[in-house]
Amino acid sequence: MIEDVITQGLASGWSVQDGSELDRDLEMEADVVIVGTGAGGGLSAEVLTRAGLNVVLVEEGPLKHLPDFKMEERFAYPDLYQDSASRKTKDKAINILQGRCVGGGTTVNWTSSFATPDETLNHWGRVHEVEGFSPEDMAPWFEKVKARLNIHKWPVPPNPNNEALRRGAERLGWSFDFMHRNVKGCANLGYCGMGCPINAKQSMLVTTIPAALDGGARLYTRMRAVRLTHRAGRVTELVCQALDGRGVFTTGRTMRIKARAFVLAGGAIGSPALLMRSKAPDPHDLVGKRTFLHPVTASTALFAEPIRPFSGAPQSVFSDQFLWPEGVDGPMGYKLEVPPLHPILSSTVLDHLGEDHHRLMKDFAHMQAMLSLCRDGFHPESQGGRVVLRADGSPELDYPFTDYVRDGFRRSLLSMVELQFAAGATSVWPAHRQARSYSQWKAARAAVAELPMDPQMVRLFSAHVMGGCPMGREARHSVVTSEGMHHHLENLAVIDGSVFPTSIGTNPQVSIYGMAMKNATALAARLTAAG
Amino acid sequence: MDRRQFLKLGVTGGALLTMSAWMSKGTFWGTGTHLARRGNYQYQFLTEADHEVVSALIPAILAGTAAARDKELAEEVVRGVDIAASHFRPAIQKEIRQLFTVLTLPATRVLACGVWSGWSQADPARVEGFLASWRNSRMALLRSGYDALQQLTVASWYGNPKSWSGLGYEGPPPLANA
Ligand SMILES: Cc1cc2nc3c(=O)[nH]c(=O)nc-3n(C[C@H](O)[C@H](O)[C@H](O)COP(=O)(O)OP(=O)(O)OC[C@H]3O[C@@H](n4cnc5c(N)ncnc54)[C@H](O)[C@@H]3O)c2cc1C
Ligand code: SF4
Repeated sequence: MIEDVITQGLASGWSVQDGSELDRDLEMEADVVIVGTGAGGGLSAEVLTRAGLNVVLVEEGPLKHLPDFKMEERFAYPDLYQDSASRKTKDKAINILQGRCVGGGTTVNWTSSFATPDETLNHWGRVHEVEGFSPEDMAPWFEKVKARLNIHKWPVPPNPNNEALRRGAERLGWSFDFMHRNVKGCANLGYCGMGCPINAKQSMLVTTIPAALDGGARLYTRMRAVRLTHRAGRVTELVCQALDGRGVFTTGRTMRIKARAFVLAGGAIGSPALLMRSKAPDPHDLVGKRTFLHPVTASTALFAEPIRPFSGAPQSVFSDQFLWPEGVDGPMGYKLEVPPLHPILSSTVLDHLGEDHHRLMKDFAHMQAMLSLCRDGFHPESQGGRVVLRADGSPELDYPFTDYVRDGFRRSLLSMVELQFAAGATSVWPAHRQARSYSQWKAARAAVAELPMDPQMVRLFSAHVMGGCPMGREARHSVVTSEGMHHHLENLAVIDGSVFPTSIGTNPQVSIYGMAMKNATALAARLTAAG
Repeated sequence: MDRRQFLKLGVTGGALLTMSAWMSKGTFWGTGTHLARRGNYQYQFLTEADHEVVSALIPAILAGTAAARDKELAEEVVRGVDIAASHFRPAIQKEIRQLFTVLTLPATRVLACGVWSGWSQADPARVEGFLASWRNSRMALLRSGYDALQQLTVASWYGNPKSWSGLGYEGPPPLANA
């Protein structure tokens, strides 16, 4: 048996309560309540607990761990993802992957680790009045994160899926490099998206959350934070509702927590939604606006040789050839990577009907896929989306297309198709409803140039939701200060991906860890000084 | 579907959606509106009428696969759709319910899908034609309806290990020391 830190911790007497099993309402007090246990919440939990503070963690998802991780999508998606991995934007044009479990997105993410690009940090300082986030300010925090989560350059040769990206880029003379990953003892299995079955991934689930629980933090799962109560510029209480065992319906049990400080770490969409439901002061109408997705375009190709895209570290190679085409605020840039392919994921990306779908799926083991992370939020015509609340208080994201983003989608499709042919693909399908499979770059290029970049025509995805509670100096332009403190509610902090004033321009987990370590450390210092 | 039908749907579609939303609230009533049951499996979301729809879609959406030929496998696909739908948050369940109500009410079935007979007697070519028309529709609402039906169905089938041999996928690797 592989040792499991969670199994051992539970046996050692951690304070963990599954909300779905509650048979009475709860009321409690704490120094700090953290809503959400993902990248921001998990990291903050460790920092605040280590500072000697009494911490309560509230998580909407379940506690799933090693014995639950079966490397099968049909179990992993309903257990570990928002809306069973099929959360969509309001018009259903973009499929959003977000974690919903202890560890949040970090439990299911693909372990690709990049510090925030200097271009992005400098842009925040220059345009968004963010203070203390220059590349020099952040470097020591990224070093600490690297050490804490064992982030290192992945030394194993890329799997054929990633190797195709490397080969294509090399042949075209495009830049490429190998990735860093947050893993320890990784067996190169390729199932990161379903929860690592050997605890090799250094997610919050196996690092900071166990540390916080060892330090006395209390964890409530299947518990949804529904509303903050506030009076005279301070939050007084958090009100939560317990969810049933599937995480679908509320059971009627509630939990109320009073605390000195409240940390929102429900992720983008989740944190702004909680502020909106709580009617937190928002005099400049900023909450939930400018939510970014790194909208992902995709292209799948068939190769004569087996690719086996389900096997091996999901992502190990990238190309930044087109990330900053004309500087930070020029036309939309994009980062080229590959996704791991598994049967459900691939079959739903391929939107073909009947025999056409079957023909492609038959060649699953020969399939190679590319993705482009389109960098949104750096240009006036890229304002991202807006979180809106449904009648029942649940959030959804309205993400309109502009000509600027359409242009980025088209160029990114062209780059991916060109690269796949250069890498030796026998046929390529750019993920677009009106595209065919092409066997030559020239024909594909001509076709993609004409495709309408409309919702549900161009197939779009996102695993990187950011923004909606931007940080910055001025309350006129930001929801929280550069240290993450709410501009109008003095004991409320937001520490997750929602504080970014633009998208990151690269996979965001390390950006969140770095920001969280810095801002949770500042919060801990203030709380311990105030005694 | 032609342009005239779109327009008709535009006018009446809203009213029908409202009506179907109201009908699908609270209790289920009328023929086929109770939850399906097959053997020991009690359906959580799909009604008898929905079961008929999904069963009719399988030969079209999964054409060429074993599920399109084998009744028992098809039943597993319907069950997978039920499991997926019953794990969505209530707001999404409501949207899927509305979609199924459009598919199951005779008036909307004819108007929006062009399927005149009941689903169980529907000619497979007709079913495919309806799916193709939604897939390529100018109305974003119908395109997203296609996505919902196609994605629920293929996810259910390809999540089932019985589909994997047809893919050259041998399933998750054995863990040496698990
Ligand atoms: C499939 C996938 C692959 C990814 N791959 C990578 C990668 O390789 N590299 C990388 O850098 N990034 C990757 N990411 C992105 C990265 O994991 C996320 O950006 C990061 O986890 C976001 O952190 P967060 O703290 O903002 O929120 P999350 O990690 O999303 O955590 C938020 C948590 O809060 C909970 N929550 C929300 N609302 C409430 C509420 N009202 N009450 C209680 N709890 C609530 C949620 O259930 C969730 O667990 C990936 C993401 C996914 C989904
Ligand atoms: S690739 Fe490594 S980190 Fe990912 S699931 Fe497999 S063993 Fe875990």
